[in-house]
Amino acid sequence: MFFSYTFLLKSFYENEFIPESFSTAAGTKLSIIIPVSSDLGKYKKKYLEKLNAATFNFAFALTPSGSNLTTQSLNVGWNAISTFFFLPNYIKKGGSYLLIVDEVLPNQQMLVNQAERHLHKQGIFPISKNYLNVAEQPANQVNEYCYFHNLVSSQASPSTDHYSRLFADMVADKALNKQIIVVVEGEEDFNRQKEFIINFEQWVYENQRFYIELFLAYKRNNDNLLEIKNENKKLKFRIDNYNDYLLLLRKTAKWHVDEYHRIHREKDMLSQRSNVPGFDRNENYASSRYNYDTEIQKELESVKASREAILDWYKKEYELLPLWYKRFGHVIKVMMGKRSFKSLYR
Amino acid sequence: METVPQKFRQDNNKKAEAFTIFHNNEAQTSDKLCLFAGYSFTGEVADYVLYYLDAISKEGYKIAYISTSNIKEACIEKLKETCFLIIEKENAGLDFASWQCGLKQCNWGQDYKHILIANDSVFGPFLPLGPIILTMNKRYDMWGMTDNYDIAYHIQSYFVHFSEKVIKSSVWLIFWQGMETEGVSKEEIIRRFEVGLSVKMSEARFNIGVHTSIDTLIKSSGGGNNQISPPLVYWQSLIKKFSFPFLKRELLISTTISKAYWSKHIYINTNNWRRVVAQESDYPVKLIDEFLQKHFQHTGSTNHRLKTKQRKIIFVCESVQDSDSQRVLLSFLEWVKREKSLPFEIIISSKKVSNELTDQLLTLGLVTFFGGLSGVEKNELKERLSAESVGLVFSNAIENVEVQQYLDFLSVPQVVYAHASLFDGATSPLTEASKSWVKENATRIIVATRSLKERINLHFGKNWDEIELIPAFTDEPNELNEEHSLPAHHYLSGIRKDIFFVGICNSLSERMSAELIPALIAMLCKENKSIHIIWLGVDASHSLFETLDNNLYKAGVHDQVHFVSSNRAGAQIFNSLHVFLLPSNDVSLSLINLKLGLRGVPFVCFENSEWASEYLEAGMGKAVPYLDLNGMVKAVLFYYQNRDHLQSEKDRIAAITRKNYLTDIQAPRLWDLLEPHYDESEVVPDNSPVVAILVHIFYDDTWKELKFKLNFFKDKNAQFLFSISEACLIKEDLVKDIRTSFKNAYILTTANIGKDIGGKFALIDFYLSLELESDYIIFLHDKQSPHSLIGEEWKNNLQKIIEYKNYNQILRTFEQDQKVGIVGAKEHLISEYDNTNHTFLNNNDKIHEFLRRYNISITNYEFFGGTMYWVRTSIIRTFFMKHNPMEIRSELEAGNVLDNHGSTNAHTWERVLSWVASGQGYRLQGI
Repeated sequence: MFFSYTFLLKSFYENEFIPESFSTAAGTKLSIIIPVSSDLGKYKKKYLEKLNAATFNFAFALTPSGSNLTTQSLNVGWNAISTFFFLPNYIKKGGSYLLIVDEVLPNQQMLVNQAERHLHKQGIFPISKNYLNVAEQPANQVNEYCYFHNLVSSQASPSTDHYSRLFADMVADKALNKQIIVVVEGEEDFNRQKEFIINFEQWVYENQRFYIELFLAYKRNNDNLLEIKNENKKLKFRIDNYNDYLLLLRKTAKWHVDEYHRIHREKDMLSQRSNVPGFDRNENYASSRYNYDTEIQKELESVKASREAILDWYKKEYELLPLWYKRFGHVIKVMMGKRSFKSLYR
Repeated sequence: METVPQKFRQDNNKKAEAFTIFHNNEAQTSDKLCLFAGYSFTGEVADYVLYYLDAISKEGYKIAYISTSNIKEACIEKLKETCFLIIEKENAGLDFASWQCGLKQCNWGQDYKHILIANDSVFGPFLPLGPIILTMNKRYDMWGMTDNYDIAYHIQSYFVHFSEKVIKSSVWLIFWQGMETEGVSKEEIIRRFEVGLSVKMSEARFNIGVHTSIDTLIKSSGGGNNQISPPLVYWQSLIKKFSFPFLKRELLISTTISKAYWSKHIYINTNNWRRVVAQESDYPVKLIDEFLQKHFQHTGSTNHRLKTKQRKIIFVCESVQDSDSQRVLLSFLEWVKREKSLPFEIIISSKKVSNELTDQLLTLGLVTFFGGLSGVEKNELKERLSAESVGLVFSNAIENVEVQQYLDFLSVPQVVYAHASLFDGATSPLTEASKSWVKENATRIIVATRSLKERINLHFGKNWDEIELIPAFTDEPNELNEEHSLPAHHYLSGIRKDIFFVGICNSLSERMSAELIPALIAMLCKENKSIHIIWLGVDASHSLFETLDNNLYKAGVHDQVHFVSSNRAGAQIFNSLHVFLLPSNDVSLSLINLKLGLRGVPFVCFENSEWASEYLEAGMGKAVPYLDLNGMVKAVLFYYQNRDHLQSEKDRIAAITRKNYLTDIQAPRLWDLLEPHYDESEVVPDNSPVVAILVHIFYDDTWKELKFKLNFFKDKNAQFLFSISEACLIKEDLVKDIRTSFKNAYILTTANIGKDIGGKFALIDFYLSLELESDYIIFLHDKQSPHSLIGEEWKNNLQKIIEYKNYNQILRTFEQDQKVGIVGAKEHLISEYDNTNHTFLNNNDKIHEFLRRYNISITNYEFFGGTMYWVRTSIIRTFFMKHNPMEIRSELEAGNVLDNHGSTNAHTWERVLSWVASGQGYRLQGI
């Protein structure tokens, strides 16, 4: 398969139909879209179990069974269904959650915003606000990740012209790399759609080979770009994560240095006292002095060990940073005058 | 004829006793009466009971069946086939009240010459009862199957037979007619009636006795306690040696049977009962299986704790040194895990060593390093294992005898799979005592080489007829797909591709290696510059290494020799070799040879190489006379000069190795040898508390350690729920690994809100939504405090609640004091409350607000810092059913929040979560 298809299960709560495994582009898992319903909260156990053990990926859609979005569907108790978003197979892109919203009427916009606010509080940020409009046929709708075209779900018996129109629209809408949403009623409908998809793909293979080669090359590059973006995100996370800790660590280290000096000063003072003429040098003193010295020595060692632990930790964390980041750090040092430019090449 | 139940209210001395007669066929005539007491857990009379009744009936007994549970109509019809009288009575007074009730309906037995009282507490009979009854009747007036001296000498009441002499005596009538069970405790009924019956009959000078007396059993088995129940403790020898016809039902359904006499240092193991019964009788074992299945299903539906599990296998491993025996065991364990899914754990004979092999074993299951255990720890281990229902001990070396002796208390078969040839010298690696223990107790010996079999027989002076040979085996390497022409290693890169690589494996510790091998190399390489040697396993720090290096230099072949330490001898090295040389007789190199064999590399060795004979016979290599270096060189040169032949050999050798020495070939054979000693179909009930483990993972380098610790809980009644932070860098890998390692685990990948507290709230919601049932919840997370110098110590303290050695102590703490609500690390049980001004050191404003908002009123403000502890599930359920955990979560701060700069909801909840328990009247207990 060249393209990725996601099946929007219109009648999920009526027939509980989930398509069998359907390998789409690049061997990705079957992905489905489930309309959000208050049933999710009502039968939470059943749906959590079903979706937890699933081999497919899924996302939610605010699209009540193909008809317009209703106020009721927006009042589902978002906190109660937030847990579904955390199932590992919920579709995410770069840490954001795919949530499809269908045709928002002006009077419903407030509820959608409310739903979003609820989700934000749980750390769930939907991928895009540029929502789809599945119900408003026959317009083709697109957002950053999904694409819907009424020709895919069309009941008409497909023809070459049909495929050709669809492909031309996809190219025009820059939709080749997006999840193509296929609206499915039930098993029979799914089989029909499946046949359509297979035939469409075959048609593309036979008639649009150059486009496809170009598309695949683009996809590869895009994947690489995504990977780099991801790596960058991870790095940023690591830096953010340890920033606070480093501040604390600096405080702790400073305390240890002060303590080290204090103990040294105390030790020096004691040794000076012992040289004062007439100072009691009886055995008890010698013994207590010895003990005190030993204790100070121990304390010193412990402070030294702590300092080494801090250094070790810092080195370990520093090691984890990629080379380019470290180099960048040195460049900054040069800019700040803390290091010579020449030293970078030593 | 339709049954018309007759209801009776029978006036006893004090209170009316109700019973119903469902069937009474007076037409049956016999002078033999059996009063059979039954109780059905499910309302159905089990088929094993009908079988037993049929066997009694066949001996000419009229049977009165007295049930203390409701009997279904269909069962009454079945009972009518063997019973003339069917009574249902209230469940009181134990079996004695049932027998009394039946006797009363039968004129106190005065019309009979023989009376048998029996119950459904045994499976059987495994043999016809006729001959036993005939013999015993001749000897005794009153007799049973077993006896003991608990309280006083008595016949155990599950099967007691009385002769006419007794029945017609006044003692009989006085005993039964005067029996009062109303309001009498179980212990007192046993004392007064079970023990009392034998005492009274003895006092009346009747001749009493049993089929197999406890004195006989003690004499036969060497035990010493006569106050135990023989059919429990001696069930196996009774059936095997004494033609005993019964197996106590309690043995198979009790969850605590193994430790019934633990205080008397007796451990009961019911391992292999199916095979024992099947081998000793024609009894249809499926009757027991069916009963057990229904019974556990029924009790499991009313008790969420009750589960059944297969018996555990203990694998004893010699050490974690990288050797053939350890590697073969590892392959076998992986196979067992993959193919059998049986519970097992690993005991290493040696002290703890952290290395790659240890990690691999830890991934597979719980690992104990026996060599490092103190006396106290050994006792703790014994205590733990005694509750584990072990079915088999498998040892990978005869040298593990100390551990095997220690495990002797389990009374399970112990199988040894010997690899190393430690028996080659005159000295024995074992003490005489150990030797004699192995001789007497090793159930089965399996060897990896034929010569080892002879040596073992010679060494132990015993001919183990059944010693089986299972050669060492290895896994199909994944890297076989790699290009064969790849350079062996980065330090071999740059070498011409037409080089002929000859492998040699020697660590320099073997005799003559520093002299003999350089000579051999010189003979091979001096004239043939295209031949290079890859010397595996060399120790560069060895004292002889410099001499060796010099010798090679002097011989002018230095540049043609590449040293590779054994741990770097990976796939690429193996792939590049053309021939493998083994110029030593005393090294076991089976696995290296097999790895090379899979790549089609032929080997050349000296004749009579002990380990090599099987491989030579299989056609994987050539042998030359001992120390015939010329012959060895010629053999190598033959391959060197005939590359086409070498190529054809390659495919043939690879095919032979694959056909004979892969894990998938040999592991099932090895399993077949264990199979007679371990019955996979046997299950044991497990009533241990259900623990739900809620784990939040944030960091990318903590999982391995946590996973190893959690492995212990896999064999327990545990439910695993994981929350992996979205911010975790390896979350996809973690999800994958958790799914593989913890079957049926529930996983969330939670957005980074409220740190571990946010993850835990999401998990609480997940747990409650899934309607899981557990007795306790354990909260855990992968604690790291890089800003603190004692962060590692904090983590270890906090996570001691999942150390397996603390498991029993924690459970005891909860069970002994119902007011203990939370158990955690004592080091982290802290209070930040200042009594003088009623403030908290940290998060003061929010704490006051939360306590008000959630109506928590307490006086003790101690809490467990770190939020890792065991808590009673009821506490969490009660609170969070009222306060939606996801609502609470939505108020937590996002990101990696610290409370150094002011109060945070997340840190406040860290404290308040403990007070949820205090607020419900529970207290916090540190361990």
